[in-house]
Amino acid sequence: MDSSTTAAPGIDRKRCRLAGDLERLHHVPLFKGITSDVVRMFAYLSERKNFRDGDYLITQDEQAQHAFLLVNGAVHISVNHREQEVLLQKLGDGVLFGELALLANFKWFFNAVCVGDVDVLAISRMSFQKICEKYPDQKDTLIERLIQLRVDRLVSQTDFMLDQLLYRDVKGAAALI
Amino acid sequence: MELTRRPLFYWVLHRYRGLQLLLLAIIVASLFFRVFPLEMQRRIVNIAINLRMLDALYLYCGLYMGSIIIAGLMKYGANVLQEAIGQKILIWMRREIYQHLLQLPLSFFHRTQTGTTVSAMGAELNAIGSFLGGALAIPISSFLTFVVFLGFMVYLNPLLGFITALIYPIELVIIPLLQRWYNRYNRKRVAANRELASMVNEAVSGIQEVQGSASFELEQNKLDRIIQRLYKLVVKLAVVKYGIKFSNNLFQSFGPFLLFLIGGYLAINGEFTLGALFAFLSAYEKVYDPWKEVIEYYQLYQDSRVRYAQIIQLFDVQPQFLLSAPEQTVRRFKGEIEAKDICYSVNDRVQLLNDVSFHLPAGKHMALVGFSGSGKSTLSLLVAQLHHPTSGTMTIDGVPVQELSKTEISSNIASVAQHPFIFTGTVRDNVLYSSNALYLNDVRPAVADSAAIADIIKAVGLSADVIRWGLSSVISDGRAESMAAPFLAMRRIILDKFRDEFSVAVEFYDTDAYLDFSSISENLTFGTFSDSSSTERLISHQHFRSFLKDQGLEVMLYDLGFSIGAATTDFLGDFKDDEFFFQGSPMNHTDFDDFEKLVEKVRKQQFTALNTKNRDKFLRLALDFIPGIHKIATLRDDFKEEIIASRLVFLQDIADIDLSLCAGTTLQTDIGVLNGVAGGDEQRGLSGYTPFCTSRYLPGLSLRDNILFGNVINQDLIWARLDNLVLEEFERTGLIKAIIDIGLDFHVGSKGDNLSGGQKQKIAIARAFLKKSPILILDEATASLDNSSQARVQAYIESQLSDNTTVIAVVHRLDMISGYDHIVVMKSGRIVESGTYADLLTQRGVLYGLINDSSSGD
Ligand SMILES: Nc1ncnc2c1ncn2[C@@H]1O[C@H](COP(=O)(O)OP(=O)(O)O)[C@@H](O)[C@H]1O
Ligand SMILES: [Mg+2]
Repeated sequence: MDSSTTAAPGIDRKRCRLAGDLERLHHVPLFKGITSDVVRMFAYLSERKNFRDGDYLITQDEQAQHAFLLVNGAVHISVNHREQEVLLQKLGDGVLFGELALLANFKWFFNAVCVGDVDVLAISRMSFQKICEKYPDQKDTLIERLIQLRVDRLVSQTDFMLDQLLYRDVKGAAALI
Repeated sequence: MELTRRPLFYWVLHRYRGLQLLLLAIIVASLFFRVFPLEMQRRIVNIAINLRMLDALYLYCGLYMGSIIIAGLMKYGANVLQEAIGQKILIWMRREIYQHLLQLPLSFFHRTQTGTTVSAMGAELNAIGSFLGGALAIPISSFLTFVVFLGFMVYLNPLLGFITALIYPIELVIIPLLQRWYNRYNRKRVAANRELASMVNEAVSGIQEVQGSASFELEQNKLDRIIQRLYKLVVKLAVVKYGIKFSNNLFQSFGPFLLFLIGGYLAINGEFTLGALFAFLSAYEKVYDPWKEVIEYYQLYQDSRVRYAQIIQLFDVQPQFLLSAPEQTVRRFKGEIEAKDICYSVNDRVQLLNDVSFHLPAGKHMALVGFSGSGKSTLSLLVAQLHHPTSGTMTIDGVPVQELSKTEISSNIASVAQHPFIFTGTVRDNVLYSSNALYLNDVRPAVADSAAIADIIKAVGLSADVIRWGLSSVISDGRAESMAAPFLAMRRIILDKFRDEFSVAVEFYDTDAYLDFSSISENLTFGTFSDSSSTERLISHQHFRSFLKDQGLEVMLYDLGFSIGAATTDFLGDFKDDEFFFQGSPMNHTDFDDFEKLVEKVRKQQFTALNTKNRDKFLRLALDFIPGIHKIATLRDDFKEEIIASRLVFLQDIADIDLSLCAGTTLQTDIGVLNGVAGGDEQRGLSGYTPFCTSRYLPGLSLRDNILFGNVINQDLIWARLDNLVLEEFERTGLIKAIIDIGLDFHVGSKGDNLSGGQKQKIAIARAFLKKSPILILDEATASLDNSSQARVQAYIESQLSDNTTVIAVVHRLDMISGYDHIVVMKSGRIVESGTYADLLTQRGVLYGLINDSSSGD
């Protein structure tokens, strides 16, 4: 962080985790054009988590606390419907999802299931709110982006489902996991 | 006498009479010692000084001081006694009012804001307490004192005495007048205060709604209005209160004025001695004391009367049932329930139930279904005597429900409300709540044992939760000793068979691996300390310090600590006021300013410019650094290697641990032997230290963490991984009961805040099941449960409660009703259809319609 002091023996400057996460966040559309200080704070407050194949990153009906940036691996978004789990979307590297958790406290209305090993950066609602408090001028932009993200996701999920309906036997419905 | 008819003095006159008499006696006796010094004063001036008699001076002075001390001590005793009497009466009063309150009909609680009740029971009663203690003694003794002093003055000089006495009647007119104003404002103030309490209480209970609709402005305005009104009232009160004070002072100075004028005149003419003038002046001042006391008493009395009237008025509702039937023993019914032409209306207008009749034989199960708002809950409350029919009769085994005492109702009926209430306390307290109440009422023998509780917990699907709570507990060393073995066995199973599966969620303790989710001090000592301030203790621990020096670690850690400190102060300068932002650094946010100064100093000069104490602050920062959590810095791999190498030295040389034993795979179950592994503990001052040995139970950690033997790095995954494994294994070893027992001691938080909606409802159902009463009422009791728990509870009702328990269940899911013997369909307060499930379906009536609607409209 501060390179002017003489190199401390214990600190690794080449593989600084904070710098790595900052780099990742910079590539997320949500943070495009957002002040570097703000993004750095998000990197500082975000948490790295690992999951395995089949683990539930998000479980429907549980309280929403975090949004996730998919660093590595793939995730299936699904919804429980009539005792079945229906696939809605497949997400891959670099995608931010669960973004609504940053804005409000609600119960998840979908599942996110890991496909293969998965690394994520988790951003809590509390962090988001605290950062917005400190940088009020960036808040509107961030919220607008989040809503846009949600709209895009809705459109692509609807497309996905309509495709399923159109190109498959209607009774057999969407792909079941 | 009926509670709400009692006047304020009822409480004073009916108890603690002996104590009050004693108080009065003390006060009367002290009178003599209050007048006596005045006489001594007169004699000192007139006799001792005038006649220049030293002996007499000493004698009179001695007597003067002596009697003042005695009077002071008596006053002291009287004050304490008065307070004690007041509190005794208050306790009695509060108990009776509370008991009355708990028995009031539900409608009282719907109408009355909680805040109002709370403030009436609390602060307002307290204010009365200080009055009650002296309610009798003060006026009597003040009056006597007044008379005695006045008599003394008349004795000194009749003319002056009578003139002085004349002033008081004038005051007797003015003060009460002012007081009446005071009372009027005070009444309004009490009311406004209550309104304030209710309002805040309402906003706080509805905080979700308030924040959800961002109605801060709105709530603020409500507050402002009341505060404004309060402000005006308090100002008016002050005007009157200080007006009373002012007139008092005026009268008080008016006396000496007359005294000097007339007494002086008499003294100049030689008709009055100087000594007598002194004594008279003192007496005048003294006579004012009881007068002031009477006035204060009067004010306090008025104040208390107002408060008391308002409290009593608030609770002026009569309980609608008998608490217990004294001549009868508590009956146990078979549970036959019959409703005949029941009508129920509130406020004489709104008709909630209309001509409801049904007959339910003992042991049969009835389902109440129908639209929301059709009166199902109301009907079930009527059976449980929580409401009273306006007309018609509800009977249990032929006895009208109104005639039953509360004790009989509670021992025969168990119910689960639509929104069950959870009390602050443990899970066990809550599931046993009703059973304990019966036990206290002498209706039932002591409550079910843990095994019975465990069965019910399982029946309502709460086992998994209770087991999790149990596993999350840290148990005492004594208890651990007897239970450790199976946990260590579990640990072994995970380490041997499931290491890979868990590795994504757990960072296992491993002598050869650096622990990213432990602090550097834990990495070095590779163990836990039973107290939390372990870093602090290590820093001042001689052996540890020399170990750091020998390993060449001290300087490295100073440097590391400085880098972390500098990075934190550079990075968080704008955020230093908020603790939240310090989660990524080992620095405590309160130490920020201190570190900022130190960092600056080091940058200007050098690290060695710091004194030892300040250097150690950086050392502590380094030792508390947890690489996996504190993002402010990243450790280099070769540094980690060095720490691991030093760790082995620490374990062998400082902690005296045989590594082959510690890391060995043979499981040692005897805790006594195990504690011997680190034999040198005490002499090296490492008390409370337990190394991370696979064979050791780790006392400071929860049961779960003892099983896992590592740092949990992904909370979301750990339970899913652990649940089945633990259940299977512990079921096999029979330890599940002990864990459930520990889990039952989990604290549910204030009103169950630590519980989910489903858990609360499961606890309420368990509470009702445990009561094992002949009648069970369930009001949408499973509505917030998951499907499998719902089915489980339903299965228990159908299998365990058929024929022995009469069940009335308001059922929200129509696919659950087929198991009921009798089905009643309600609409707008009437029964529109009733019969068996099969009959109603073949009739193709309302129920048939409901079922088809719900399955197609979903
Ligand atoms: N204390 C009360 N005062 C006035 N109306 C009430 C009261 N309690 C309930 N109600 C009304 O009585 C009707 C029946 O309520 P309830 O028995 O709770 O219905 P259900 O349980 O069938 O949904 C509802 O319209 C409700 O608003
Ligand atoms: Mg209801």
